[in-house]
Amino acid sequence: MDRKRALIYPYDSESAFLLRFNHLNKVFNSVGVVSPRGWALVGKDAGTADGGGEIGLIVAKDFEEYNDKDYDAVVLVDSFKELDFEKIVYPKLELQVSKGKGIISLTKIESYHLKLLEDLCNSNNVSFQSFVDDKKPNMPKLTNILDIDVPVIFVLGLGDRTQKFNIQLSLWEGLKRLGYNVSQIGSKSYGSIFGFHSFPDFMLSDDISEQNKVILFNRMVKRIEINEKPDVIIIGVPGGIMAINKDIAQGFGIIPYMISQAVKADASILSIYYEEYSEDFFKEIELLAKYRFRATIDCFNLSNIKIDYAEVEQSKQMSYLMVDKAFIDDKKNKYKGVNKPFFNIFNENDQRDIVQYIVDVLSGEEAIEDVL
Amino acid sequence: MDIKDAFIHTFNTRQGYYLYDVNTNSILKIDKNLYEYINKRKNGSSEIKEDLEEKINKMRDQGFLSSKRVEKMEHSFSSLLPYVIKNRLSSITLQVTQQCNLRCEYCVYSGSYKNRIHDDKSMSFDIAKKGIDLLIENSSESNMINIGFYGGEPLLRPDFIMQCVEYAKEQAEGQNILFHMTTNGTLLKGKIADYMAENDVQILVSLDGPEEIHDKNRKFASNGKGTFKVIMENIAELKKKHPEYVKKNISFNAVLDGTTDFHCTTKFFCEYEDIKDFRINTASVSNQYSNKEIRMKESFYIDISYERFKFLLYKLGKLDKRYASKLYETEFAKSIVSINERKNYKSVSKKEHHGGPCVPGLNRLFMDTDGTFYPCERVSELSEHMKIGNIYDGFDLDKMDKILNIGRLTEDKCRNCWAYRFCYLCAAFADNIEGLSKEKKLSNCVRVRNDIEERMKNYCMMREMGYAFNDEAAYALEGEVL
Ligand code: SF4
Repeated sequence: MDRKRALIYPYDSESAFLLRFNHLNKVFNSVGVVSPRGWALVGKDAGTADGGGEIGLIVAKDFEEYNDKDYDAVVLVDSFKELDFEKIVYPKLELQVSKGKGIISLTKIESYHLKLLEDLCNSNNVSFQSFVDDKKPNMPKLTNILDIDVPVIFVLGLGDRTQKFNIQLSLWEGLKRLGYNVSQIGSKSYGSIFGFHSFPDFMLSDDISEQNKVILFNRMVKRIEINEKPDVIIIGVPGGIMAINKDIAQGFGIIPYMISQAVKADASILSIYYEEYSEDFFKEIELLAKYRFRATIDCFNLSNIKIDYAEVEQSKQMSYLMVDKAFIDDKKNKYKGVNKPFFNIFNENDQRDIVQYIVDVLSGEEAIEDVL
Repeated sequence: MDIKDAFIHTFNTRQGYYLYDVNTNSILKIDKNLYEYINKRKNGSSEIKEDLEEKINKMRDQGFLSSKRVEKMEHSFSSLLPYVIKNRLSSITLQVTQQCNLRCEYCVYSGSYKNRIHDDKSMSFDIAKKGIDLLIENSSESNMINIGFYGGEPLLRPDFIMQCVEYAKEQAEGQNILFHMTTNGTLLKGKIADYMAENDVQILVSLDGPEEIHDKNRKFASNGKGTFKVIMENIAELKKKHPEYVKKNISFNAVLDGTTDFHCTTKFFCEYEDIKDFRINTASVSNQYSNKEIRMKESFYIDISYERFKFLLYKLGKLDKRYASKLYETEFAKSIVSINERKNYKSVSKKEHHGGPCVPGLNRLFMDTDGTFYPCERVSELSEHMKIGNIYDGFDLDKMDKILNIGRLTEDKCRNCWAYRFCYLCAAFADNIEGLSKEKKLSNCVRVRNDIEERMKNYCMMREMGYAFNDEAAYALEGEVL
């Protein structure tokens, strides 16, 4: 099936992976990106957004910069900064829909706005597709946990914006290339555009108890195991594994905790913010992973995002600084004393090496063929 | 390891004996015997008391009393400066004009200071535009951007300000912008005042106190008359027309002149009908770049201390609010609550910097009428090493690094300074116009350490008196959850 040619809006670091892994996207082909002028990306290479190296597309300030016949749809995405829907987003979409462009949504839209948008698309006879998972599960009756028999890989992060999704996509692609049959639950709610499972909406619901969430997640993974018969299951775990300090809660690590109770990982990757860590930090984090998440951290990814602690303390709002890929390449070599490898997922060699490393970790367990 | 080498500082209040453990950033209450023993040992006594040594060993087992020092004064943003200027600029303050319609005694432009003199220069719109563009272009990771108008007196050029605001709004689609301005308030009326309200511009008006105190220093250049009445009329008019805006966005900055009657000043800000509901920031007449030594009257100092004391009584519920001066609300938060909110650590890091310096360009950037950049509006424009770049050539990373890492200048002292986490000295304190001076910086250290010890003592005293620091925050949620 021909993929729709799409423009991404509003583009920033949070949607850069759509371009970096465009070749894996089954639903649309990202041919251009549009970003509000005030986000400081217009006129620059789209790779500036996440600091992960050039992509080869220049960020446009408006859809009008593209030729009408060069795209079929607009993809509405999550962004790091919020944008006023009624004042800024809707008028732009209205114009696009009137030109016959379809709308693809990868972001949760508030119901009132969603209705507005659906009506707009209907009355103009253009398609509106949402890939955000919002399935409502039935509540489980039993509370036991079922073992997952195939190897499971966790992709964990110290917090948001640590490029977990890029790691998941690299693993997905790399393992498939090596001939493995991979099943995957992505840490985002629209993994389905890449052909894998989205992170289920029920895990974020306020109406379901934690216990039921754990059971439901366990059953979801078990069914994937039964139906897809994978060689390996990758689970992208959203949010952060712990509160970083008194000001930075990162969800207190609750979602990772629930997932780790539902499924036991055989290998895990932890992506961390850029910081000059002491070696003790890694020892402690490994202990935390072991006792809180029943997981061994097999390797680290050093992301190119640093938390600006002073600003967070002052504004009580998350605040970051972004460095580039070369800077991280240099810094990751400084952790030779830690006896676990460090990767930079923006580095092409590392994208390949992390896959091989995880394969080695999992095959290392072959001394014991099975634990029954 | 000997207690002599522990990186600690001891102090006592009337009721308690304390040890500040620098490595963990903890304040430990200890008994008098131990306190005296530790002090004696630190002062060179070799007498060993087994029972107290046992207590000391226990404290060590709990992770306290380490002798670890920072090895190198280096700010964690040092190697990140290229990225700060690339994606985290968040503010620019434009020196709209160097002209002013007042001649204030202590104003940095009026001759008693080394950092500026009044000149006729004004910023061209082209330079302002370039400054705004630079900010927007390099702020992709900033949650919001601030654009400030500063002078001289910025309201001498209302059209220029409006032009800048319109330009920035147009260029920064999708970004939150906050405009702010520091003004003497004498021209805050008519069309420009309405425009400020329509654009939610945060305004800081300089007002030193009641008429006789304010007018002592703040006079019109044209006729030498005081400006108090004019400011009051302008504020009253603005309040009548835009009450909500005024409530949210106008605050006053009072420069406390130690030669005046403090009691009068505080009474004015707390009780004067048109003023009492506003936020007030206070600052002392600055000594930093002054040509003259600035002295405080003794009675002024006594009044300040007495008001501070009353404020603490009010916080403890022992004095009615109406007797407490709100001038201390901010000081209380900055000096005492901040001790409560300090973070704990396992130990000091190998590379760290003492508190004080802001990251140049990160939160404040000042651009003068010619387009030259300074780390903030408070530093001297005559000081070459404070010029961190300009609109034509960009930033000078070497100079920024020197300003950020001002601790290198005094590394030998700072490494062993128990107060380094709370230190508030930045490069401006080392700046003697000719260069960044180690001696000048160090001349402030005794005062800094005394201040910090005083803050810790007040904090401990408030705890001894039963002040529960976290209660207000706990109840802040009451309406929503309980
Ligand atoms: S008070 Fe002086 S010695 Fe102490 S950290 Fe500050 S500058 Fe260094």
